[in-house]
Amino acid sequence: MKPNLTSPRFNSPELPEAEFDCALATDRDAILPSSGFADSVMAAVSHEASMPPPIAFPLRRALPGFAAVVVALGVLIAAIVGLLRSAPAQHPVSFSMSLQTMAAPILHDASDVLWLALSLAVSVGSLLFCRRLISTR
Amino acid sequence: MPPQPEAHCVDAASDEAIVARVVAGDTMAFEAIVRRWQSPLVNLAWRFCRDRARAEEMAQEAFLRAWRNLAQFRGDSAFSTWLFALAANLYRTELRRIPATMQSLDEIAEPEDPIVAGAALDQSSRDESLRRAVLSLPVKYRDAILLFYFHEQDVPAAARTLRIPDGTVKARLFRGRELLRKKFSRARRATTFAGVAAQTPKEVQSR
Repeated sequence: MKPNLTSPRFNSPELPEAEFDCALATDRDAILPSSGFADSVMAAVSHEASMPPPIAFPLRRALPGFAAVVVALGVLIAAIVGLLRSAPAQHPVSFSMSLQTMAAPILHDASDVLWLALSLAVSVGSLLFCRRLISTR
Repeated sequence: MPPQPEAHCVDAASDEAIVARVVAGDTMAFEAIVRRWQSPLVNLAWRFCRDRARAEEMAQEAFLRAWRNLAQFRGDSAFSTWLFALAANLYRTELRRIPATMQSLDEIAEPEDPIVAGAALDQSSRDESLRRAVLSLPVKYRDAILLFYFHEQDVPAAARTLRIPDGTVKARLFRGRELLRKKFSRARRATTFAGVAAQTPKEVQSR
């Protein structure tokens, strides 16, 4: 079947406004929902309605934890600020600063170093112990 | 398709009454809303994706979302406005996630067999090509055109559904139609010339 070239539809390459509107009009481009559509929607709604409501976040129980985190952060910030203030102002902070200079405000004598080493050893020991426990399972 | 304006006014009050019942805990009352609005919502989804199964899936998800958020409907606008805005928003999100299968008009401008393609380009196939081509437009023009025609060429209704000013809808409609017309005319010209070239000299003389 050949196209009817005498038809105005084919003679003009431009798409007339009315034809454009007609092609996209609602009544020309409609489908009917399948017969079970409403039932399937209501089944989904009923299923969702029958499910227990989602568990709310336990704000009351978490509140002490949040407060502790906020306090810890505050203490940490205050400690850092105090540490920076206690550093001598005339010597700008330098990356080449020796470990001894950096540790000086924290470590006052040899016993502090011992305690620090002991706590690090305990931490590493517990970490290794935990890893071994996990790997044996 | 959207219901007639008169019917819409009559139904608006009952929609709100049903919404009140559902919010109060009567889940099954929601069925009246589903039955009343299933056709418009499925058809709106159909216009967005041109895939019947996917249109019904998207419409079902729209109803579910409407049911979940029914308590948020304050009655500031008609229930249908709220529902269409919610559905259109969902459909646009879904299409961003998985785009519709689109047919570019540039692709149909170069058919394998021009004679067959020219003959097959009757009104219905041309209209369908045009509808599919709307989906290949940039999103903002696509949405304006889809909702303008879905709302039976009512600019304020399309603007309410898209939650943008009327003027913006008009501007997007103008630009979108320009783009579509340009592409479609190019495709039609190519198909028409292909049809003329395929005719024998005798056929041309007889015209």
